Amino acid sequence: MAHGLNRRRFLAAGAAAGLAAQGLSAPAWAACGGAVLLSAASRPDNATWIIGLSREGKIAFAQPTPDRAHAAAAHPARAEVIAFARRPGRFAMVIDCASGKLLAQLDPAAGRHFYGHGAFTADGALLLTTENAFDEGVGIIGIWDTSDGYRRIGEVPSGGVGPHQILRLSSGAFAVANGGIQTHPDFGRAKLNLPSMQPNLTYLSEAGAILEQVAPPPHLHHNSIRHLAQTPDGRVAVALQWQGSPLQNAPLTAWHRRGEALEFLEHPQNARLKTYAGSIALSGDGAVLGVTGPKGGAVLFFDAQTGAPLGWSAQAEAAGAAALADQSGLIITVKGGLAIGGPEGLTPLAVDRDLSWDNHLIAL
Amino acid sequence: MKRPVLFTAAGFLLAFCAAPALAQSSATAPTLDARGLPTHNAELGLPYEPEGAGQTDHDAIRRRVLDVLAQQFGTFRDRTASMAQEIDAWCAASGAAPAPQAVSEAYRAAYLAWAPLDSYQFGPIEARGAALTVNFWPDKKGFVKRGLAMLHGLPAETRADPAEIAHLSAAIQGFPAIERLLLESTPDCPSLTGISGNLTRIAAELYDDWFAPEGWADLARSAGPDNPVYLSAEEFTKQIYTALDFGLIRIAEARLSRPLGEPTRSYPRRAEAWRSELSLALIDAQLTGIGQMIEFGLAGDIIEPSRNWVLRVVDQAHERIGRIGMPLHEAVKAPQTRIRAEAVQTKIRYLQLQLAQDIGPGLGVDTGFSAADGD
Repeated sequence: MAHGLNRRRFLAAGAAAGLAAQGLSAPAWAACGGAVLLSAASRPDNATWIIGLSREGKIAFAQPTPDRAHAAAAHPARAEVIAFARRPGRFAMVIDCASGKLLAQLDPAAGRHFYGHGAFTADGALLLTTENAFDEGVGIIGIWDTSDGYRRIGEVPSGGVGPHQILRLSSGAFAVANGGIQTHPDFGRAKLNLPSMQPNLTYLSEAGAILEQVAPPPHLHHNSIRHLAQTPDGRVAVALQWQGSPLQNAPLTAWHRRGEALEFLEHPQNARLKTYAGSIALSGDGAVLGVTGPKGGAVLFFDAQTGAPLGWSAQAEAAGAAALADQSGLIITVKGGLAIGGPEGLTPLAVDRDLSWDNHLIAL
Repeated sequence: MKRPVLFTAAGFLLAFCAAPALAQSSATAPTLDARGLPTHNAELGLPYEPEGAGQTDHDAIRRRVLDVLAQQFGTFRDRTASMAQEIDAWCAASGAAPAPQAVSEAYRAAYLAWAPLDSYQFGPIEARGAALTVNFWPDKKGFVKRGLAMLHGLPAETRADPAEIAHLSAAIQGFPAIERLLLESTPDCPSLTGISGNLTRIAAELYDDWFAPEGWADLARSAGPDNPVYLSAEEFTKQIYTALDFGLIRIAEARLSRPLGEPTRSYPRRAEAWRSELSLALIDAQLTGIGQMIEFGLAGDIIEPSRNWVLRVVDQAHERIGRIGMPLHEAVKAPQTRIRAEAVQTKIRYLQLQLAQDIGPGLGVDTGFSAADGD
């Protein structure tokens, strides 16, 4: 099997990289022109960009992208970011954020396309990308060697259909949101298997082996697991997108502790998300979990220790969410700029150009 | 110039296109332009002001769009039911090959009624997974053939039961499976009965999902701040506009591109429904559906010169399809006829560009992307 072969290569590459990582230098992010945040964005003329923002909301760099981008990931050591095309994604771009220059462009393997997210291994040696093996209708994690011009060195199964976000956990393992939705580039962005969709949250070891899988109960099998965040006490928090009847107010936030069942978090304002949770992130102090609703124009807050609801805020086009380690609150991309704060209130911070943000905000 | 000889499917296609046009709902007799189209907003009974001065009425668009959708989904429902009846009658009489003309025509009519719906892959079609169950194409891995081989191994009473078919592979539930079964030397009547019965159920459910009380149409009608899907009527307009664009992409980049292949190598058997020579008729029917939606759905809420212009380009695309003069999978084989298929593709892409330049901005919906598009 090709997978087995690739898997062995992945293991070998991972082990070698682990040794090399002993001598890692401190992050070179100071060189990033003051950028501390990153988001894909577009202008009214539909020109598409990856934008680096300073903590004051100033544009530190703007890198044009060939098409609409979705999310990005920051290399743990080098001042490099990788931006992913929106699904069905045909490109991923590695950008030197000091110069804003394009270092490499990743092309999907034959019969694969990107699903919009990726994550680096803790040592930065490998990049993992969520991908669609579209003619087989199965999810794949692509493996790329960052030390060799981002060469593709293999792939492993994602453990489900339609993998979307992949998140590196503090343990060095990965969580993968297998959304359960089958798509095919011949059908654009249409969802092809909603009656039978089966989302899951899959944990992969650093070597790509499936450690554990958890799924919503059968009556919530239409609840697509798509975006992830890790809480300080080690849970994986999940933002969901409901694909069943839109008249049903299905819970759109959940979390999970290894070995337990998926636990849905209720919020009295859940319906404001319009069946669609966008990003999920922890506040800088780790106390608050924020969930954005770009369709409903709302942000919901939860207590990151108890899961209890903590209020909400109306924010048009609330999309990306991230936090800076030295700021207590959350930073949300909204129409016109950023909104910073938490359940006690969000303060707008206008960004100085007419930009429309795409779904995710990445803290560098 | 000699008019090209029309092949069977094109002959049928003409009959299809000559079906009665959608009735105008306005009580007032509108002024008609050279194409016979009303030159004013039928809802308001007012003529449009010169370019740029009109205000788009998204409530009116929604009413008319739902009328067009009801007609298109209703036609699909009725024609799949007719197909199932013809198949049952044939199987009760003899079930001997070849399938009688009434059966093959009912199959064509039902398949062509699906073509316009291929553009609307949101809401009920998406929720039912109908894009694959109704029309499993492209089938790069041969799932239809494999699925039918598996089906043949099941007992006759299982094959003939629509409820059993509904639990099997999507690849054997739709038109590509029926197409193969109709061409077999020993027709498998139980399978044809089960599949066409299941397809009739799917078609009826799609219609009801849209138009029964509390269906998707009601959801669109109740657009507003508390609506779980549409925050405004404008969002429904945007969805329909996007669906029309998607339909054109499906024609140019799947239905035509797959058999056209590369300039130096074509792939005749990648044409959709090549066995029953329906490839071009399906393209034409999808284009007809798009034209209907522009003409009767968006109607007078598109600024006047743009609407006339875009409908003219639609007509030109229909003409180019007619000029191919042979089945698509034959046409792509030789350079001198392949160029006619390429000419259709060029025209469809041009039409897409005209939509983006004229119709979208005119409706005020083509305002670039936002995070609210989701992913």
